[in-house]
Amino acid sequence: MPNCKLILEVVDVKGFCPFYKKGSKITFCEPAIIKEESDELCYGALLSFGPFYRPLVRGIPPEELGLGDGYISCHSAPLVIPEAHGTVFFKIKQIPVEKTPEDLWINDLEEKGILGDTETIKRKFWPENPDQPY
Amino acid sequence: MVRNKVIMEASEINGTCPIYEIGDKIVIEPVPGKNVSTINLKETSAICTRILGTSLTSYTLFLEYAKPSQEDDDKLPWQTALGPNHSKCPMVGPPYTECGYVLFKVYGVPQKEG
Repeated sequence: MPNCKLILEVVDVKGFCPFYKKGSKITFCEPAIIKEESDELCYGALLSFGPFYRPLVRGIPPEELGLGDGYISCHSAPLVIPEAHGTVFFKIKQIPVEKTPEDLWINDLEEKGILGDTETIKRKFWPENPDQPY
Repeated sequence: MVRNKVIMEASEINGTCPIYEIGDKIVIEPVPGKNVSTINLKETSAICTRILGTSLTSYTLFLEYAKPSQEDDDKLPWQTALGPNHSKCPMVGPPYTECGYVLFKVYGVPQKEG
């Protein structure tokens, strides 16, 4: 299973949503959101996607997760009450990538002379007192 | 400080859900004397892992500490009291996904001091 870049594209908005309109996108590439390739970031919508992020970004197809052809919706309830926002429907697109941002970071360090496999390189950054916040 | 019991109650199901029926509850209770809370497994119907970590569960800590407002007219609806907030699980529902979505009503129940 290849690592994937994920694009959540808004395919419909039922009701009033202050952030998203049809065609808005959020793009993920493990371990982050790519800001340059994303529109608005609604925290609630991101949380709704949270449980599915890890399997999808690591290449498990949406069908196997019970998401049909790759559809997910936000948390907002389709209710006609004043505090309700519109429900946003996203289409999930998976694009296989050869290198994640972490791979690129490791490559960059190797080019700067910090050599070794991934674990060896990471070990160089391990703190002496990992339990202390500062 | 007295905290609230928080209840997530399935109030509507669009399509079919293999886990929840209307009226099913997830009950979250504060641990007395500690700033943590637990899911009451005896009073809870089921816990679907697909709602863990979503907006649905992010309401719970807020509602645990929320206090009913004395000035309801001056406040926004979600600040006035203990809910209910309405939120749904991430499933889209038929015909796009086999599982339907569940709409939860999330609210706080004040506990007696002592």
